[in-house]
Amino acid sequence: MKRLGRALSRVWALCLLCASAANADVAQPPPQLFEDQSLTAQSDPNQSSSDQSTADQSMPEQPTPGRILLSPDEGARGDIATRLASGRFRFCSEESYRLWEVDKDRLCPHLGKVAADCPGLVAACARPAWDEATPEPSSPGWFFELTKFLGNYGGQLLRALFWLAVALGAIFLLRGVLTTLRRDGSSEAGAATAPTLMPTVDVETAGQPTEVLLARAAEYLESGDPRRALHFAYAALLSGLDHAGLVRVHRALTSGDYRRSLARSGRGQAAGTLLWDLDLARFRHVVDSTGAHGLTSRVREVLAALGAVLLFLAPSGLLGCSPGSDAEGPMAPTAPRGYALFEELASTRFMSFTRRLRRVTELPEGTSSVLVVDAHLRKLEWETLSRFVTQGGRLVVAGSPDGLADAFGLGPEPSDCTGPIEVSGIDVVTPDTTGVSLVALGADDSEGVLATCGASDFARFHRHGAGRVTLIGDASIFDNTSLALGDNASFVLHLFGGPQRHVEFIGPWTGTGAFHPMESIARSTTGPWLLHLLGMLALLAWSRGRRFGAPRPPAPSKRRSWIEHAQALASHYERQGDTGAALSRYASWALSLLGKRSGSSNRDLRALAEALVSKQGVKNRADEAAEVHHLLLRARAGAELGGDKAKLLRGYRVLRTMVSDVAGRR
Amino acid sequence: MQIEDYKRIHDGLLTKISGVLLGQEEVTLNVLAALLSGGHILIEGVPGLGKTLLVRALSQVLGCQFRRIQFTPDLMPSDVTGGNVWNAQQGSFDFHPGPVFSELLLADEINRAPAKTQSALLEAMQERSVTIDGKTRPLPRPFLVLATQNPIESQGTYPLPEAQLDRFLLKVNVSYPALDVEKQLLAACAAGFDSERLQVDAVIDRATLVEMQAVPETVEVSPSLIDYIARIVAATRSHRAIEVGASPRASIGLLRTARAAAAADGRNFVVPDDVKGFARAILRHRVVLHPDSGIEGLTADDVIGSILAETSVPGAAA
Repeated sequence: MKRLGRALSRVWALCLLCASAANADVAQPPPQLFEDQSLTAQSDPNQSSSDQSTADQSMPEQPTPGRILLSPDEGARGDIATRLASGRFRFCSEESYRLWEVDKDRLCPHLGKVAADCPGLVAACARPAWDEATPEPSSPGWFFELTKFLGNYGGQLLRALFWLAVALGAIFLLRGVLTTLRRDGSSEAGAATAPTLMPTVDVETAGQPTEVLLARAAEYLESGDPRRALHFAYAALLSGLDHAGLVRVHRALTSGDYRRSLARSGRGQAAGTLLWDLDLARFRHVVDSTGAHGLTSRVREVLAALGAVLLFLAPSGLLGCSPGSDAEGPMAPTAPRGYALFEELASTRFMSFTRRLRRVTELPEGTSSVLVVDAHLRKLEWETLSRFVTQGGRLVVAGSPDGLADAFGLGPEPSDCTGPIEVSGIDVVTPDTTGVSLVALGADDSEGVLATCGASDFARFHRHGAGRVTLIGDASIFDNTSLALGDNASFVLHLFGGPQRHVEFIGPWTGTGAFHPMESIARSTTGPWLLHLLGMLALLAWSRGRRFGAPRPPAPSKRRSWIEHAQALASHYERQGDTGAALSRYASWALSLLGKRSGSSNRDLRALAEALVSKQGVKNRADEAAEVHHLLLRARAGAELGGDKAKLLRGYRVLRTMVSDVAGRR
Repeated sequence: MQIEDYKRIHDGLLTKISGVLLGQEEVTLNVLAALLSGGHILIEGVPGLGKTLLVRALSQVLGCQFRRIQFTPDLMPSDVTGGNVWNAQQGSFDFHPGPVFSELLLADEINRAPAKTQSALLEAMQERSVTIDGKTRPLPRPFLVLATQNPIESQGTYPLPEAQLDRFLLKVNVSYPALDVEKQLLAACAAGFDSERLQVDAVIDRATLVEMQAVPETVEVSPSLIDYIARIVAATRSHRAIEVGASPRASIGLLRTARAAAAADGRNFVVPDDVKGFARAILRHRVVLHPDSGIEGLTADDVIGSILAETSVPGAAA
């Protein structure tokens, strides 16, 4: 087998050698960058004049040799506009949105070129921006040092231990759940099942807004179902009262409960009466349609009156208390610097599209293109990508990531953009206006140029093995800000050429997962919290006084100890008001117990008192013994003596404390 | 009888009794609801809160034959039911009916008699008949037992057995009156009111009472409310603080009382409030709490309150 493999690899190497020799000898045909023939034809500088004239009919200008002529993608533009208007991209739709300073600098100069109507963006540009500051890590520095110190092997050990603990915990939990289920099942099987009758009207009103409930009530009224309409009107009224803070809606509360609550608060009596009327109408045998109309109208009136309260509360949201004015994370998917727009666009255009989280050690089968944007890849990962491209894959790289030169022999160098971005056929706008660092891709090795930036190339492609590498100068061309401008969406889609089977999106998030749990904790900055929790657990374990791993005592019996029975009985008598009987009954038992534990006879109370006092190590023994003796005497004769209840109770409590001290709880 | 007439008479009874028993409107409402649904009532409260006065006032406004038994430790079953007495002249046994042969029976301080005597009422309360020496004698209609007991005394008392408790439709707790009500009471006493010489005009007669007891049967109950009642009672059987839950007799009692309450409000249909309002009075004497719950200081009312707070109401909007 080994020989066969070696032979096959030699044949393959020979074929490659022949192919490269042929390429060196024969004039290189223009690269087949895109599958769609029109673009390929336009990119060919040697194409015939007849072909060219055909192309000219559809394209506005003739590109310079080596430049690709692109056509605007109206579908992409419309798609982007629809998504921006959907409300999910808050920077575009939310009036109270505040941009981060960087985003403001990038977006606001291009307001006129935004692809969709973005009322929020105009307002956001007029507002002051958030100051972006790097948060300080809240985990202690030594925690990070420790993770470094642990290194690879320590990390692997920790990881193994972590998963072992998780597995053991899961088994323990599962066992507990199964035991509980078995117990519940057996108790349920033994218990008589209550009869279950279906309610007359089954309506689901929970969690719906007031206006929706009212609208549904109106719908049911129109459709001739007044009972159901009344249920919705009732729910709408309660929802309105709840929002106004007049009642707190709960499934176990009746109209009477709400009425009483409203009456107590002194507000909304009219609403309380209406609730009651609605309840009467809902449970009536025959529901009157006219009455239902009238009640629904009254609900509207009450809600309108409550609306004044709600309007009073609403300005607090405008003043910055509403969640809408919260700062959105600068790199959140739907933020100006996020990639949600591109991802959604790609998901609709490509057969499949994945945001890659794991390290690029291998690519899924059927991957046709890989997009690398601002990623920090290791050498091994670049090698994987290099193999992928050599075997015919397409790689689109944005920015100037480290390792690209070593893997592909391309050496882009940073340089300032000396002019506007120029793309033949479409209007591309880069959001970074001044001082942006683009990549001087040079003109030596390119197979075709897609865009230029003054004297430098901005986007171009290279052949590598059987595949191609497309380089883009600015990584931000893929973010939400960029795609909202001009024909950038068309440009971005053109970078991938024709139909794609599967596209992997590699970014700064790729391969950033923690290697072991300690690293994960350090990154999540929860180290101090966990240490605090561990400290608390240690304190708890210490206070319980049980060593970890010590054998457990047998499960305590469900039967209560005799002392608790005696105390419960005495408490019962105490509650019944028969304190004397309580004391005498408790005392007779307590005296025998105290006698046993102190080694004295309970017949001679004086001796018993002295024994108890000596056991407690009291200094002034004589006085104390006399007092205890008096107490014991009074306790034994509690019922017969009768007298002051408070005094009897005090004696009972002292005796109880004494029993606890001398005899213990159990 | 129409619902409107029922409501009118009910309101009249309520006004009359409330005029005698000040500040205990809720107790009076409960008692009336039980009476009009044909159920027996156990009234619990410390001495001096007017329990006996309530029953006496009730007997007078209802225009019924009223008998009272003071339960004592030496009371025998035959003292309640009556018995056969040898007639020497005729040479035969003559039946001498006991106080149970009345329309309204006040069993005062019922827990002072031993279980044997208390049990003499079991058949009377459930079957509305008494069997003596193998012969069953029916009791008059209506037949209602109003029993009182003192909750704080334990010496010389005999707690009612569960079977006996279950035969009471409602257990009503009479609490202390509010301060201003007590002032009114004192003012009335100062003006010459004497509860021993109480005279209240009858509002209805025996026949009307029987007629009224039939009205709640006509009140409609939606299936969702029947489900609600069943869920409340079923919850008492699975609650962790309860050792013995309520019986189906409790469900039936709750349904009957809810209907009576709806009729008293002039409605021919029941709403959830009718059910929830009487749940405590129907269930509190029918559940047996775990000893642990007793030690923790929980009462039956607390536990039933927690059940009601968890059981979803039909048509609730949450």
